[in-house]
Amino acid sequence: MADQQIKKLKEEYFGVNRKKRLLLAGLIIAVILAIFWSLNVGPAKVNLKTVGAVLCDLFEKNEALTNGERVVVLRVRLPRIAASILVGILLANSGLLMQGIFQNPLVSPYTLGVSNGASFGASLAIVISAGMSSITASNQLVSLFAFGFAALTMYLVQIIGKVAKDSTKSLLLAGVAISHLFSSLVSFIKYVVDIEKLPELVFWQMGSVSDATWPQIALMLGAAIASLSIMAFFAWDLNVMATGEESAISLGVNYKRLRRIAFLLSTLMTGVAVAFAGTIGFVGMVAPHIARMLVGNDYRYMIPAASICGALLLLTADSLSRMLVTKIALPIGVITSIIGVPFFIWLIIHKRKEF
Amino acid sequence: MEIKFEHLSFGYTRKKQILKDINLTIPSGKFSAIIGPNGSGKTTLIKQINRILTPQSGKVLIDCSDNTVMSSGDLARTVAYVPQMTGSIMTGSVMDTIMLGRKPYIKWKPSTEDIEIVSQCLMRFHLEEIAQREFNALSGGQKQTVLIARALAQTPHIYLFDEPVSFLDVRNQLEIMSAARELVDYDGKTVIMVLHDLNMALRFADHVVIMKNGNVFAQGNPIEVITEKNILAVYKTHARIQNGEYVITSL
Repeated sequence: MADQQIKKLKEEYFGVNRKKRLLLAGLIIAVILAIFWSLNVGPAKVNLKTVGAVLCDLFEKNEALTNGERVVVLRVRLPRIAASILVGILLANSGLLMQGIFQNPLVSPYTLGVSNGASFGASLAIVISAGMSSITASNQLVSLFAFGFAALTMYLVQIIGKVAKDSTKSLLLAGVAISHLFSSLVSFIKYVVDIEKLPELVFWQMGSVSDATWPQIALMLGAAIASLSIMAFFAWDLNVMATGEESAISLGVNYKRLRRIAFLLSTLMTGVAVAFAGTIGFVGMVAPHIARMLVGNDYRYMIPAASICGALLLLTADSLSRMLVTKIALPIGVITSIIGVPFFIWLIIHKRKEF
Repeated sequence: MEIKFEHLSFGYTRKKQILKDINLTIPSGKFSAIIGPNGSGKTTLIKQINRILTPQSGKVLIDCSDNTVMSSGDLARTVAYVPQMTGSIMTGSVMDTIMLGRKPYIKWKPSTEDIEIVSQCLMRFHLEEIAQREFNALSGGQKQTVLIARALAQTPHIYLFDEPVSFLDVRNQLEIMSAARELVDYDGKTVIMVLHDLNMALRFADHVVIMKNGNVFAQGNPIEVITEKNILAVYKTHARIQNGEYVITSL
């Protein structure tokens, strides 16, 4: 009798996990379909055949292709798609870590003020680069400053949190304070900046993947592979961390070390994403939450699920931004906010018990 | 497994000490209840055992081994902690939550043995029907039971309970206390429980420690320790012990 019951419980457990794997497979198919759709969206029509031809052309010259087709595929459409996927993956996993640290599904990678810190860095770089003749050098400076100040923000929050006895609540409050400081400084820069530079600054803040280059994509890919591998290694520790500090310690997790690693990875992922795509909002909060609803709270499944959801969300948002407005480039951040805000409100109303 | 506190002192700041030079032995294979007024240091004391808190001076010996030299994995395989469950935690189903108790043994994928142990824990507490239900959707009593099952899945020698029945109704209180008692009687484990209810201590414990202002005020057999005189000295309340039950007579 007892053996039968154990067998039944085992089967139930395996069944639930099988369903999660099937869901992940379904999500991967959805991303592939979204990529095909995204390739076709935009002023220049590009079909799958052209993409294939352009990719083959890299190895064996195809005279039938026009230079325009090569440029659209290799410099516009594909980098944009790759950047959307990678920024989505980076922000979603960063959010996943932050929600675990704070045990709160409303937390995002920007909760500790990283977005305002990065915005300040980028604004500063935009002002400094006003006299630069090279656009590439100016863009690199913006990315570097955005990443640097994102990391600085996290560092400052950590220092304040440590002085205030390292409690999670003090970290959150330190984040709010630092965030306000940088937000005020950004406002000040907007107030004094040359009027010609203002649209560039505002556009950066809203986020975009339209200017992504292959070297940037390679950097994002490197950051994603490194971070996700470390997260996967600590998957069980992260599962336990999300149940709270005391539980985690009593279950054998070195909580303080794990939290430091989680902060470091979250900073790296957000910093890299923000450096190349600006402060795209809501993906880092919404994607992990959708993943949690689909596959539960097990990081072994949440890491791939959140990655796919983040990629899918940004890919869709970027395609929509190209589809909806043709005269001006609609920033991707606006679309993610339009999708994210109603979801955020739904969360507040329906899931309030969890935070 | 015997637990020994040697000259243990603890405070969140240097100036204000919560535990003051504690010397105490918790007997092996018994149910020990730690009682005392609010702020006397009961919870702080048990949190020293599994290093949720670390002492400023002194040490905790588990079967003669200093707990600070044990690895976190070894400690988790020796001591399990059942927190007071009042709110929600970010966890999955009941089975997933109990599976977290296997954390000290799992690398990546739970083994067949892990799943079998978790299934046995579910069955022991009659949780098999709600195994796939969300933990956060359960009642307070059910949540507390699941957390005991999670501790059981750790297969430890020592169980620490932090006021597990404070927010539960009478029936749930008795069920949780009986489950803790069974760990001692049937499994031969050591149970240490922080309690507010003196009658529960009288009824279920083998050994009682009374804390007052960060010191051990008295310890020993429940009937010998929970006396009218001690209650007056510690709680400043007049009480009468009647048929093994404590009754407040006046403040």
